Formats: sequence, structure tokens, C-alpha cells
Amino acid sequence: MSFVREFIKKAWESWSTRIGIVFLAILIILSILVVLTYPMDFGTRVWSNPSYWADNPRLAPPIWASFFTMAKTPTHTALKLNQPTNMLEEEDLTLMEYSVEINYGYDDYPSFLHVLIKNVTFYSTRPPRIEVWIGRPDSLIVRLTSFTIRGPSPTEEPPYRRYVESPYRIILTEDSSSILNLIYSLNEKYDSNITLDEVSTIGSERLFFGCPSKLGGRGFSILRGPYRLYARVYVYDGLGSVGEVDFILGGKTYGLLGTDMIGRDLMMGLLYGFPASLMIGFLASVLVTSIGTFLGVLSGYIGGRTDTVIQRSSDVVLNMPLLPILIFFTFIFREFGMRFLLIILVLTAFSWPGLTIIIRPMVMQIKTSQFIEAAISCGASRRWIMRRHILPNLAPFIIAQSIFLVPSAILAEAALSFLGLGDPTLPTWGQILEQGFRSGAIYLGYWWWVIPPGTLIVFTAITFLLITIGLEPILNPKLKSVI
Amino acid sequence: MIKPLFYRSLTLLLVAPAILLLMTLTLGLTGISDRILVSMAEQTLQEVKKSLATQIHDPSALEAAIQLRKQEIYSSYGLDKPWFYRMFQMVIRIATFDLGRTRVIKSFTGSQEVSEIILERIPNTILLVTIPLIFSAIAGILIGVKVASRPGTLLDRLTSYLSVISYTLPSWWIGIVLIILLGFYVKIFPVSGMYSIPPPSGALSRILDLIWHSILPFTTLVIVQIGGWVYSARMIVLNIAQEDYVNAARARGLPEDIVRRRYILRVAAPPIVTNIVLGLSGSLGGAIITETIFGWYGMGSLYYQAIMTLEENLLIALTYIYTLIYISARIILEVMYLALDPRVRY
Repeated sequence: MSFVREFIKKAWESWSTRIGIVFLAILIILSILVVLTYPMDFGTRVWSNPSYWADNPRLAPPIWASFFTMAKTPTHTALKLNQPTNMLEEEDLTLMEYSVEINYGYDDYPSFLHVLIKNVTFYSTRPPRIEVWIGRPDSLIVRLTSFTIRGPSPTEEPPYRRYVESPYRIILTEDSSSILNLIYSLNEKYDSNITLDEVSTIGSERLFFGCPSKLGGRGFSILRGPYRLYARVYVYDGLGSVGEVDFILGGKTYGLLGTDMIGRDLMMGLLYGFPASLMIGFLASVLVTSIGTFLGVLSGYIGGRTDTVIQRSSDVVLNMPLLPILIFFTFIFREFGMRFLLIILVLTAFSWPGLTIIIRPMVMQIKTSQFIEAAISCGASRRWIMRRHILPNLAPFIIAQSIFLVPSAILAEAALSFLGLGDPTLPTWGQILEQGFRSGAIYLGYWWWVIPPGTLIVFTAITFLLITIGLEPILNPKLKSVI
Repeated sequence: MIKPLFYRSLTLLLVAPAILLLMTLTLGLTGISDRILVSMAEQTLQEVKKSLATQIHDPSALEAAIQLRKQEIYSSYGLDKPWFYRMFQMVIRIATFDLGRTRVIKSFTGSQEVSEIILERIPNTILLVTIPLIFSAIAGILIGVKVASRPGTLLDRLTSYLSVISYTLPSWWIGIVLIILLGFYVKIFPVSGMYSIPPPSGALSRILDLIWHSILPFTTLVIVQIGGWVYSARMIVLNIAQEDYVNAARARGLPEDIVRRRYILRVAAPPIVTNIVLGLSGSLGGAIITETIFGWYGMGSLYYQAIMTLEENLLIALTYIYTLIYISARIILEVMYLALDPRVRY
């Protein structure tokens, strides 16, 4: 393994390789962290599952984006309660109150208000009833909505469990009872005449966190101050319970990298892109390098008819237009599943000839050297010579070439994903970019949806290129002074 | 000397039929070709059924008539024979430039002839892809040769790093960034398309409109391509500058100017010309992604459209033509090499 040590020593001498290796280390560490913390079926179960993202604001820019506008935009807030904040027990009735305080001091309305009820258990045939209330800084207290949990069916045995798999979600800002109750109370208190039609055009968030402006007419102004949101659960058997009550105030900004059209946290998807692209890049590079080297060594060492066949077929394959062919095959076979493997295989099938053609003359040169002659005279087999004498001599060159192949595979996958041919079970940066582009992100100014994935693709490609620049003296031993 | 050249050219010529076979075999073996034709035949049959039903009222006679017409329609689409008969005919037809007709995609004038559709797109692609390529090749080679004369200086290093970055940047990425910056935030360039809607009247204002629309794609392609040219020109020149005969020439006391012109650039010319010819021939295939991003009606976006609507004829014809352009350029190069580089002997 001395050639590997030699190789690393030589590579480390170059500045750009050192930077490249540091970048690569960052990529690899992030990938490992993601692989360890993300679920295996992240793509299908989380990323491509809209219900997972139902409580996120849509198309929200990153939190730090509001620093530039100086306005205090509402941040995304999820308040979760496992225990009731108040409890009132009577003979056959338990009242559990889940209450949260929000000090609203933002310059904008939130994008929505959700209440989630999870894991309800009850024993009596009379099911629990839930009420949602809001207490505003202008001392207006409104019962927004109330509903009764679905009662037991005739065959069901207690305990009756509800909303275990997925929570019961009340979208207060779209709930007609809440909106009507608020309109009624606001009109009464402020002597205004808000109508339902009006609310549907200006947005119902204003009813919750604003008040009709004193000037009359259509205006609303934000009402800052302490709000109290609470859910009252009436249970009729003294034993029933609620697992969790969540109040979610949809922000106008979200997380470090914002959200997309269906509220997906882009940071999660972008982080997943690290292992995904590295895997695609390395796998394709290993396959192309092994096939290319194998055929190149075979062609150069054995010669004769084998050589002619391999060289002619690599000439033919090399001159095929790569991207159209890639698109064609990925599209035709897209329904067979495992599309990222398909992309890697097609990429391999059409990019091995480059290496084969470069390696052949090198093998032919080594073949004429005396140590090969010596090995032959000792009775070494052709396979032995190729494996033990020729390959180690080529090794530094092959390693350098294989590093060079990684970014081209990553870029090819990104290009295919960008054309909508990516693997939906394996979200990559190219796919996020494609979804952004298809949804018109660049024409509507959703920069956080397209700039980060593109930057990451470019960053990864540059990382590998920086490493190869330093390897130039190995690839091209004659060349002494490179950067 | 002629014989090996002939064999090489023959190999290159094999690429075109190889592509045709590869694509038709894939379409045939996966049953996609059959599926497309069956759906077309069924569509025709539905219309025939409707019109027959108004003429014939006896149910059994109607059924018999429909069966008869069905057979006629299926055989007219070539579905009565296995797919390879049909595919074989198609290969022969396309190889002889009878490119056939499309099903859905039409040319701007409404024609469904594949050859017309493709011919219409070629000028657009030349405008979008070829002109920036020529520009960046000339500028890149000039810069590359210039910095290579003083390797290792700050300017040389800086240029090399910038060119590597430029080489890595995908065109779609720069396109998106430029559209967001200059099309959305600073609204000085249009975000998409070739002409304003509605297009201005008058030839001059139309041309100006087209130029205005092509500035962003032009800039994009120059940014992503120029680095490759700088880098490769620099490498070629540097490689040659370290040859012994160049050192020998310097040792003889020849002026640096003559060493550069006669000993270095003369030898550097063939590989640089190779790059230019290959780049030009490749550019006619169109930049599929760049054209998609900028909403440009060229060969690249046509290919994408063809694959999304599964226009068999158009798809195979387009790939065939890309390949033909590319391999003709390769054959021209093989011949040119003999003329340009006196050292080349097969």
C-alpha cells in the first residue's frame, strides 16, 4: 500500500488539495450525521408526505431574511402541552383546560393558527367535547369553535382511543365557526361592520390578531400585546384524557432556510442531499473507474483482437451524445423504480470509454518495461502480471481520475433531476431545485428555494475539483509548475 | 497513411447506426413503441366507432364492421406485425433522412414534418448556444495563452482558480441566479422567452427585442464556458512549453517572441482547434437545460419536449442528427490533424 501513502503525501503538498480535503471532510461528516439521525425511509415517509408538513407555513423565507427588511416578522411558534394547565372536577364531569400565552409584538400577521389534539382516550359512551377560546389584549374573549369527538361505534369496547395515528387538526384561520364568532364579537365591540366576504379577501388572520382601525372602513391594524389561547376539554367519565394539545402560530418566516410550496423545511431536505449526492457521486465514480480500468488494462496488455474490439467500441460509445442519451434512458426506464440506481447505471454505461482510452497507452508502455519481462520469464500468468505489476503502477493515476469523476456524476444527476427525472424516494438538491423552478420560484422571487440547493451542488463539485487540481502533477507527471 | 484514417472514419460512422439501433431496440423491447401506437390506434378506432354507429343500426353487423375497421387501422399503424419490422423500417427511413411526422408537436407554422420542425429550431440554437461559445472560446484562448506565458504569477494563479470555478458552475445554476438578480429584483432583463409578448412590430425593433432577450442566456453561457477554454489553453501551452525542444530553442538564444510563436503556439494550435471544432459541433445539439430555463425555442428544448410527449420519430431523428453533426466534425478533425500537425503519422 506504499503507493497510496506516496499518493497522499504528494497530494497534500498542494494548497488547493488541502482546501478540497477539508471541504470533503465537512461533506462527509455532515453526511454521516444525516445518515445516523434521519429515518431510513426519509424520502417516502417524510419528505414526499404532505401531511408531515401540514403545520408549517408555506413559502416562508428563512428567519434571518427579515433582518434586511428591519420589520419584526412573526416567527413560527409551536406551543405543545402534555398536561392540562387547569383542571376542574365535578361529579360526572372533568374540565381540563390547556392554555398558552402568546405575547404578540410583531409587525405582521401570522400566516395561520392551528390547534392540534392528539391521543384522546375516553371510557363513557358520551364522548368528550372540546372548545377553543381566544383571549385578546383588548379584553375581548371569544369562544372560537367547539366540537364533539366521534362517539364509540356499537362494536367498540372501551377504552375508546381517537387521533392516535394522526392528530385532529383545527385550522382556526380557515374554520368558519371561528371566523363568524370573531366577526360578530369584533363588530359588537368596535361598532364596525366587517362582513364575511371582506374577510375572505383580506385574510382571516387579521380577525385574530388585529382590530378594525378607528377610522372605520376597511382597514385593520395589528393588536399587539398578550394573547391567551386555550382549549377546554369536557370529559364525562372522570378517567378520560388527552395526550397533547398543540397551538401553532404559523410564521411568516421559518427555520434557517425557509420552506417550500407544501411547507417542507428546506433545511431538512438540503441536509439529506449531502449523503445522497456523495453516494451517487462515489458509486458512479467507482463503477466507471473499475469498468474503464479493467477494459483499458485488458486492451493494452492483451492486444490483438481484444484490443481492437475494445478500442472500437469505446470509440463508438465515447462519441455518443451523453446528455440526450442519459435523458432518453432514464425517461424510458423510469417506471421500474430505484431510479437513482438507474441513473448511476446509465451514467456508467456511457462514460467508461474515456478512461479506457487514456489507460491503454500507459499499459502498453509499462508492458515493455523490464520487470514485466522478468515476471514473464519467471512464469507469471497474465492475470498475475496485470493485477500485481500493472495495476499498482497505474494506481495513482486511477485514483486521481476517479476523484475527477465524482463531480461529473453529481452534476449529471443534478441535471437529470432538474429535468424532472430524479428519484422521488431519494430527495436530492437537483430535485429541490427542480421543484422550485417548476413552481416559478425564480419568477416570483422565492430565492431561498433555489439558491441554496444550487450553491450546495456547486460547492460539492468545486470540492472535488480542488482536490484534483493538486493531483495534476500525478495525472500529468511532465508538468512541474501548476497552481 | 490513408488506410488508418479510413478505418477511424469508418468507426466514427458506426456511431450513428449504433445510436439508432440502441434507441429503437429500447423502445421496441420495453414495449413502449407498441403502447404509443396502440393508444393512437384506439383513439382513431373510437372516432370510427362513433361514425359507424350512426350508419349501421343492426348490432351484430355493427360489431362485424368495427372488427373489420379495427384490423385495418391496426395494420395501417403496423401493429399487425411484431415491433421489429416496424422499427427496422423506421431505422432505414431515418438513416436516409426521411424523418417522418410528429403526432402532437407542431412547428411554429403548424407543420408536423419532423425535418421542418428541426430546421426551424436550428437558427435559434445557433443564436443561443453557438455565438456565446465562439465568444468565450476566442476570449478564453487569448487569456489562457497570455497567462501561460508567465506561469506561477499571482495573475496566473488567480485566473486558474477563477477558470476552475467557472468550469464547475453548471449553466442552469448561473442562469437561475442571473434571472433572480437581473430579471426579478433589478428588472432590467426579461426572465424568459425570445420575444416580448406581444412582439414589437418592425424588423429593427424585433431584432433589438431578440438581443435584449438573449443577453442573460449569453452572459450565462459565457460565464460557464470561458473558464474551460482558459484552463485548457493554458494547460496545452504549459505542457508544450516544458518540452525539451523548447528549452533547446531558448538555449540557442532565440528571442522569446519567436520561441513562443514558432515553437509553442504552432504546436499548441491543433489541440486547441480540436476543442473549438468539437465544441461547435456539440453546441448544435443545443443546451437542453439552458434552453429550458430561458424558455428558448431551440433544439435542446425541442428534445426535452419530444421526450416528455414521447414523440418517437422526433426523438430518434433529433438524436440521430446530433450524432451526425458531431461525428462529421470528428472526421473533419482527423483529416485536419494530418494537415495541422506534421508529427501526426498513423
